[in-house]
Amino acid sequence: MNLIAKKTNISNSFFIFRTLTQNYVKETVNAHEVEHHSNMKEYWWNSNGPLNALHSFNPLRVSFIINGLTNMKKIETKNIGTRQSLENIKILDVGCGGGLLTEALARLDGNVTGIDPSKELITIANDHSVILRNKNIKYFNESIEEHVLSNTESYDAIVTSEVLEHVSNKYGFLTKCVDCLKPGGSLFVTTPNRTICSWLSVIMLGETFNFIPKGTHEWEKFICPHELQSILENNCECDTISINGLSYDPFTNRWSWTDSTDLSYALHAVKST
Amino acid sequence: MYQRLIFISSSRTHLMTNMLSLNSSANRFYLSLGNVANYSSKKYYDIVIAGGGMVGCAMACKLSKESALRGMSILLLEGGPNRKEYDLSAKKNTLDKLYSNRVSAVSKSSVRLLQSIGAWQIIEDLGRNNAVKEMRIWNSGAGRSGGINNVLAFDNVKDLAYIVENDTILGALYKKINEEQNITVNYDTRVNQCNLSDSHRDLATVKVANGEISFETSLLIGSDGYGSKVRSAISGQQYIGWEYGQRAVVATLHIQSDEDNIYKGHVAWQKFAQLGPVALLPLDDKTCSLVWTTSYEEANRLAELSDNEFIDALNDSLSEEKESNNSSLLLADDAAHILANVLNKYCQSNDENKQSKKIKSIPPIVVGVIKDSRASFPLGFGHACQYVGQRVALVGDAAHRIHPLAGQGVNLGFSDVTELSNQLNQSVLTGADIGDLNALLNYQTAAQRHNVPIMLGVDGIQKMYGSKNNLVPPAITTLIRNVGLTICQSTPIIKVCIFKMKLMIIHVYILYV
Ligand SMILES: Cc1cc2nc3c(=O)[nH]c(=O)nc-3n(C[C@H](O)[C@H](O)[C@H](O)COP(=O)(O)OP(=O)(O)OC[C@H]3O[C@@H](n4cnc5c(N)ncnc54)[C@H](O)[C@@H]3O)c2cc1C
Repeated sequence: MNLIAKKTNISNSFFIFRTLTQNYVKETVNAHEVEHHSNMKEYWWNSNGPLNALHSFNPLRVSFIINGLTNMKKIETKNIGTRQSLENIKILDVGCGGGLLTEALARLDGNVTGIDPSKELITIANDHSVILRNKNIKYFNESIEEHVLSNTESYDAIVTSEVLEHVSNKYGFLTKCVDCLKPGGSLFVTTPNRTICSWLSVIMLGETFNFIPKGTHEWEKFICPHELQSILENNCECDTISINGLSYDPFTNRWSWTDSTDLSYALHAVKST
Repeated sequence: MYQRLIFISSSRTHLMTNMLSLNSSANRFYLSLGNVANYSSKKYYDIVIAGGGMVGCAMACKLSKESALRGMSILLLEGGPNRKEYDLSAKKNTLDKLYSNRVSAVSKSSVRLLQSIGAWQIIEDLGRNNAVKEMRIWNSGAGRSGGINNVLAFDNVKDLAYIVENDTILGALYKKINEEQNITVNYDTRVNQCNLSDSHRDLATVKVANGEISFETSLLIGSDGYGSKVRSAISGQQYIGWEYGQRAVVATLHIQSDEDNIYKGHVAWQKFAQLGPVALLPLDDKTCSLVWTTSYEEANRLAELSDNEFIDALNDSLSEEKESNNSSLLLADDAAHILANVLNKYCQSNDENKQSKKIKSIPPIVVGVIKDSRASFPLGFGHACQYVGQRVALVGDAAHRIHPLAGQGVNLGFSDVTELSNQLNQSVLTGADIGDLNALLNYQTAAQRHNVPIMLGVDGIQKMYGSKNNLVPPAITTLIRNVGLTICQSTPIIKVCIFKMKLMIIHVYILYV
């Protein structure tokens, strides 16, 4: 851990973030990762810390969600452009981690539920959410497969941000997500693309900095936009509304939208009615 | 899988019967945090602003006008009393205008801020905003033959700035604040101690001097002037500051200008005298406000003088002439002229009507000083390396203090207000906590990018003009001074070519050192 702490922020954030979200793949949380995660408490909510790339990603992904819901006429007119924009909208954050995105959505008055299979992360998320006053936020330590059993067709929007790349059974995962969605509800996904470009950055990070254990980034698991789109359209009865490219500048720690989806992208799909 | 299902349903049942905490074996965790409003007994406000000077008040008004922040509770803590000067109805009724001795040269962008919060309208209605349409700047080496030759005149069909009394600005701002339901003002309340946590999860707390009450807030804004308490509470703060060993003597004056000028009553005069700049800021066609920068000793001597002696001393200083070598002056003037031309090109690309020219002119003669209007203030330079921290931000003099020679002090503060309020609005719209460090850091970057070049420029000019260094040959000194004038005059171009500006400042510094 000491060794890692000495490395640069960007690489750290990649490493920690990846290992934390890796749990997703597994049915149960394994012992050595539990131990590893108990050290993470400090990191999640430190916007100057190793997860700063994730912190600075929030404004973009939140506005992506708000714009998407505005386009689908889900946001009440009186709430557009205010800090109540998600009022009366029921949202599920799948793979919520420490609750970075979940809290942001709750602060905008969304009725938000976060689920994550890692107990440690849910504890971090719960601990931190005392900062919210009178907001609707709930966390469950469970996977989507478990959650769907009692929550079929109950959400206006499902968000799964930087999670899909860790899921082996994408088809199963996505169908369960969509099952939780009300007809006409929106699914928002952000995930890195599987391209030479993203492969290079993973290899560059992994090998130049020489500390990411081999196999942390299972690049083969990354999914291309057209693959995601075809699963959603052919198997989940969804229509794709938009796919936008994302880019990240590690020097200024800023995210921006681009025309190219080579590195990473955000997708908005709507469940047919 | 069957077993897991049992777990889930059993935990749900437990939940119904309020036994959730006992159910840890089920590997489930459920906590609803819908109602944690009452987790502390301290008084909570979304935003606490420490210091109700011009900048703090503008901050409060601006925040309550932002679409995303509407309805947030704001507490303004002011160390001073609720002064009767804030009551503007008194100003309106007096026929002969009695001006206060503290005035500010309010720039265009500051006017835009005041307009956006509705305060400018109040000031305009009172008619207490005098437009500056021309600036005339000269130095003590300018040569004299029945008038001063090298007066750089700088005018614009549009107004350059407005001279407004600080009291009037404050009065208008307080009036607006009182109209806002969500702003609470506590007068006579000095901030004594600020506790800022490094943790994202904790709120900032503020203790005040006279009471047991303490306040909790998501965002503490420090606008408590150059001796800021909030500033020193920011961890890792470094404050670079020094005293200039100078004082600013202020007074409200009656003047007489023989010249027929289309801009009569709207000309600001600034002379770079030996001991420091003397500025006359027009309040109306007969009255102006004085900011006379001079040494401590001289300021003390001036304070002892009777009003009549003071007027004589001032007139002497305005017309005082230094012996200088003509050829070196020519050289310096040429160089300055070329520079002025270059700079003007930038100005013109931005604003067709802006012009700088050299004219021959006679400075105004001071004929009277308004009773009890004389006072003096110490001057210093200061800059906080960190404007922000977790749940805290500095604006105005709390973050930066500059020499008043370019009239930028309150304008820098107002530009902080605009910038911070924009950043907060944007970040809150995307669901961020109002005290979120990322948004605050964006504010810091933008504000410092704007402020630092201006501060260095003004400090550089101060150093050049304040120079008593005999080792610097007269020609170079004069050159630097004239270049300084050009920089000073061309503040609008700062935005257009910050890069070039910086180069020049570095140049000037090198020349000087
Ligand atoms: C002689 C002179 C001439 C100037 N001329 C110009 C000019 O022409 N143009 C221009 O733009 N600028 C000018 N300035 C600069 C300008 O006055 C300042 O930049 C401006 O007043 C700063 O405003 P502020 O609100 O940040 O700070 P201040 O005006 O210093 O206000 C601070 C406020 O905080 C309160 N306070 C302090 N400590 C505490 C505490 N612990 N708790 C609670 N409250 C507290 C004080 O009572 C005060 O009301 C001049 C300055 C001087 C000295």
